[in-house]
Amino acid sequence: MLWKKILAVAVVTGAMLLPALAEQPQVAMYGYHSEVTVFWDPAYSFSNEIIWMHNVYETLLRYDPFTDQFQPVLAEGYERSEDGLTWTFYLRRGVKFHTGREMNAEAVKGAIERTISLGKGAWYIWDAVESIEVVDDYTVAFHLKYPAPMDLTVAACYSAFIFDPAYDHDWYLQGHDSGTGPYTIERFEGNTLMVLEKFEGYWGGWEGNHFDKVVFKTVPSPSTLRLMVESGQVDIAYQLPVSDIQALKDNPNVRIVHTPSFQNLLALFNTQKPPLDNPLVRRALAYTIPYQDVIQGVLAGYGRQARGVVPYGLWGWSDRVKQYTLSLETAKLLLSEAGYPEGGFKLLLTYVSADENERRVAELWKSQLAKLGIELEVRGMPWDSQWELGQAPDPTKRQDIFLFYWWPDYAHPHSFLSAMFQTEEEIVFNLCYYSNPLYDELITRAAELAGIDRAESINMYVEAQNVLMEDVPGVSIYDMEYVRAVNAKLQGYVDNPAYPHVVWWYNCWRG
Amino acid sequence: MGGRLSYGLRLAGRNPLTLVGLTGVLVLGLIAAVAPWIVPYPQDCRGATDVGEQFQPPSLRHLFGTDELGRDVFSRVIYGARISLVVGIVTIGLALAIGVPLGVIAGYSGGLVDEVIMRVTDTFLSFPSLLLAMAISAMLGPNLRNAMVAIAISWWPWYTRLLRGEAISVKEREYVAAARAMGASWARVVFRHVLPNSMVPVIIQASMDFGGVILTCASLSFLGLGAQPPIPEWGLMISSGRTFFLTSWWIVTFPGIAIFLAVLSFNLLGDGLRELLDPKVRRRMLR
Amino acid sequence: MFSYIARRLLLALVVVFGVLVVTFLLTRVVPSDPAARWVGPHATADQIAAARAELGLDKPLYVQFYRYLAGLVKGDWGISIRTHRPVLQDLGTYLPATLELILFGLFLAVVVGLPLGVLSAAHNNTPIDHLSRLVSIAGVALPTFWLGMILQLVFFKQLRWFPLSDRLDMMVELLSPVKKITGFYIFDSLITGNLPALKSALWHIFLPGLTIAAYPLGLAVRMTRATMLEVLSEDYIRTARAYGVPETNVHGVHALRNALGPVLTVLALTFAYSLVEAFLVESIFTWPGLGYYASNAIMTVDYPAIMGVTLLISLTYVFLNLLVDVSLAFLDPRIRLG
Repeated sequence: MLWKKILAVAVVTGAMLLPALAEQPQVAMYGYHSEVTVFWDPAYSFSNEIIWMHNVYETLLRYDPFTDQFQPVLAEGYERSEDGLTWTFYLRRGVKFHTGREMNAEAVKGAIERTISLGKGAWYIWDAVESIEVVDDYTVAFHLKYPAPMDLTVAACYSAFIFDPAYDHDWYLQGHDSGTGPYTIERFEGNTLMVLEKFEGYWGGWEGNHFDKVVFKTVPSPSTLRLMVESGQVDIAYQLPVSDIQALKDNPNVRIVHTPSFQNLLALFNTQKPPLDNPLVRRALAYTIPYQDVIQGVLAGYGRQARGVVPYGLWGWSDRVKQYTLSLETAKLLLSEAGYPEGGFKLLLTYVSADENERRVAELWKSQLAKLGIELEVRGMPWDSQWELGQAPDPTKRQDIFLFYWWPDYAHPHSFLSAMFQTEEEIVFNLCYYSNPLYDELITRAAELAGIDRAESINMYVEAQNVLMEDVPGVSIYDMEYVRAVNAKLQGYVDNPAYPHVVWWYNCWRG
Repeated sequence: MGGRLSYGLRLAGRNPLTLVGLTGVLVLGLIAAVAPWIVPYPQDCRGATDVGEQFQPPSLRHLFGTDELGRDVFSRVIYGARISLVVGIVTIGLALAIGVPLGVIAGYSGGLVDEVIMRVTDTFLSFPSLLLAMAISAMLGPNLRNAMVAIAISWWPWYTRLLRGEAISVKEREYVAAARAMGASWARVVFRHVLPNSMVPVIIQASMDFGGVILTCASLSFLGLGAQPPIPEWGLMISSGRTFFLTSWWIVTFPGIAIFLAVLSFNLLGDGLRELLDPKVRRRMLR
Repeated sequence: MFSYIARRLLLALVVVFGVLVVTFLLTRVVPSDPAARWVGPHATADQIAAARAELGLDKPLYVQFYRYLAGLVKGDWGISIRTHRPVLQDLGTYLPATLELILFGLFLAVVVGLPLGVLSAAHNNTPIDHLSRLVSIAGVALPTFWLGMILQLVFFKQLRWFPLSDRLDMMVELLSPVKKITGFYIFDSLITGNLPALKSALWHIFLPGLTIAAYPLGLAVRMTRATMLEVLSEDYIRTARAYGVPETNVHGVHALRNALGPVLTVLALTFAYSLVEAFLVESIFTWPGLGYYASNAIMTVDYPAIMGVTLLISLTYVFLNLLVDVSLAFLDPRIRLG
């Protein structure tokens, strides 16, 4: 009798296990170093949450900066009028929001208008829009105040999501979503865990290899994150310390993926406060930055020295732009010319205290300046304190050097060249307090041409950057590379620097 | 006086830990005094960097290895003794400067003045000191000077409370009454008669607090709320080595040992001092 | 008796008011603009001005203070600038993890510290005594954050006995998530019979718990030793000895019972201290508690959050002090007269 019982138990357990095995869902895991959610509302989104939002919400187009091409997503095609003032988008048919409603021209208009009227996130990318017209159910037209590249705008990383406009902010705060994307929110815990499950009615369908669930988890300790990558628990991780990256390189289970990013580290000089009001001194400083030491010692080689201000890989970058190198002799000559042969002055550099890389760059620079008799005070501050000091009413009370990162709101050189260097009545990001009418003219013209004649536009951006390199209101030190440790089995993953840290999990599978 | 000293030493001899503490403090003071001249890489303490030398494990060339910017950890740890001692002296001095006058005034005046001062004191005492120091430092903007101010602000109430108690008992003594009877001014009575005679317990307490202050300052720096780079402050060194500590253990280990030894020495010495000078404890020891 | 307690309560209220004033003032001397932080990095001047009005930062200071007080009473502790959620709700989310950690630490401290203190007192001025005193002083002198890292180096990197950080194994968290009842993972997983989670939770709490325990452990040893020495010299102990009560009973039963009071008092007061220590420990072990929340708040000058944490901890401290004083008053009539 006993063996019968055992058999029965075995059969029953086996029967219980089998479907479990067969239905074992494919789960992808994204280990993120910071909170995975800051904003819940797609119209508010301006932070880390884009890493999951781009899987839940979609944009009309998606931009590939390497080929400078647009990929159709919710729009199947588009055209631009001769004068660049009207852009017409033809929408994909049969797309459903997760809320059950249909995605049509009315919804697109509603979503974008909600984003603009809320004034949150990067709403200003829509600044050129005069009105949005519903031409028919599946055609929507943007009428512009001035020519602007709307294809870039609708493909922006922030504030370009198409959502069901029927819901308000509070509804999103409760953890709901209203996107059209392949995944929808299953559950979440605070800001540190987000679990997405597949949306059965996704317009792309679920044929072939896809993940059923995607987990986004905050793992603040880099050491833990590294362990999780090594053990295969996490499929992708970012912001590991360079020493860990070096160690992971030899691990066959891990692939190190590094791609040029559109993020660069800049030092903005206070052009209104002695001694940096003197262009000679500023130029001298540009010769004192240990560019190569920074790239080797801080980035472990994962980065490249910046050229101009536009990062490598973004249109507008060019080898025709002047580049500075470390040369203390040249710097000394320039300083003598400016009347500071022995240095003898003190400069205040501010950076964001939580950022270890910025701190290291500042320290490396400090040790070079010391050799020229210049004392660099390195002050780490929370971002808003740093920023507020930079906006102090009296320019002489402000810092001398403002160290910070810039990355574009949308893939356009204008994002770099206008925000930081264009004349500003009230200081927002022109933290070098630079004002040059010739330069302003150049970039304004270039921006207008961008939607019409790209090549000429680039020429003007190059010229504008050479003006900057001559006046040196600031120096871009390096263009970052995004270095990620990826599970070697993960397939289909392509890094797209126009959407920092976003992985389109629908396109990925485990081989 | 000599008899008292030898008596003291005899007592200290009964508790070898006190001697250990005393030795530790003396060594620390000596190291701090001569640090700039004895460290092998003095430029590394002032912010020089050498990227080619980064992450070297301990060796004869770099006894404690090098950090993420190629600086000699040994030189920086030795130099850090100087920073910590200065922090201790300045902070406790500042706390005494706030706490002592308030305490003696409260104790001597009594009444409403006493009540107000003591309620303020109670308020400050109801924050754990590290928390208050953190909050103040975060608000003032983090640097070493603000950290010292922040710690002092969270520290003074202890001295006020201690001194007040002492002043209350001292003011009843005959010589104080005599001075008052002879028409000495209020300030003269308070600061010439009451204060000097109430200071002993506060001085003992202050000497015991050195360890606590050094530890608090290191904690603040560790959280990014104290010393700023490239100051070779021990807490800050641990904080910057933190990202790499599983691969380069030496960057955090040695500054930590330095903090531990410094705080331990001060605490042992303070303990011993209290046993020596607090009559209640002494009686027990002599039993 | 009642007049003593009434006076003590009144004093506590005065102190609480003082605490409120101090926390409020602290956040108003911030050399930075919370409104700018609220709207995020790429904001325009208009957005900042709107945020300032939204946050009430454009009103005079006393109005802001009044609003702050009124809000506190109604349970509105402000909205965190960083998480954009009510501070009280955030505190509620993060507090249980911290409490669990601290209670575990204090538990370790008592379990190890009391016997060590008794042993030390029983062998006064012998090598055992010196050793245990050294342990007690070391516990107080160790930089907590450093101790945490050293424990990680030894027990995680070298020995692989314990996990590096976090509250639960990530796979456990996903496959058998703890049902949140009290927010104490050990307790919750125990009563829901979630064994994988229980095992994982115990595994993960050990190193941070040990780190937190260092300071109270040192104190516990010290206090136990000191009070034991005092009690051992009292008459009734001599009487007990004279009657031939065995030495272990003298130490273990009679003396310890009397020493327990002051030791537990000190530990109660260490509780608030440990809340602050937890800031450092949680940041090392990425323990998702109050300290983790607070360090992020400090980093970003999230003033409502900093204020909330400071207030919560100070109120706990005041409350515990009150509790200790009142219960001592019940136990020891001399205090009431003093």
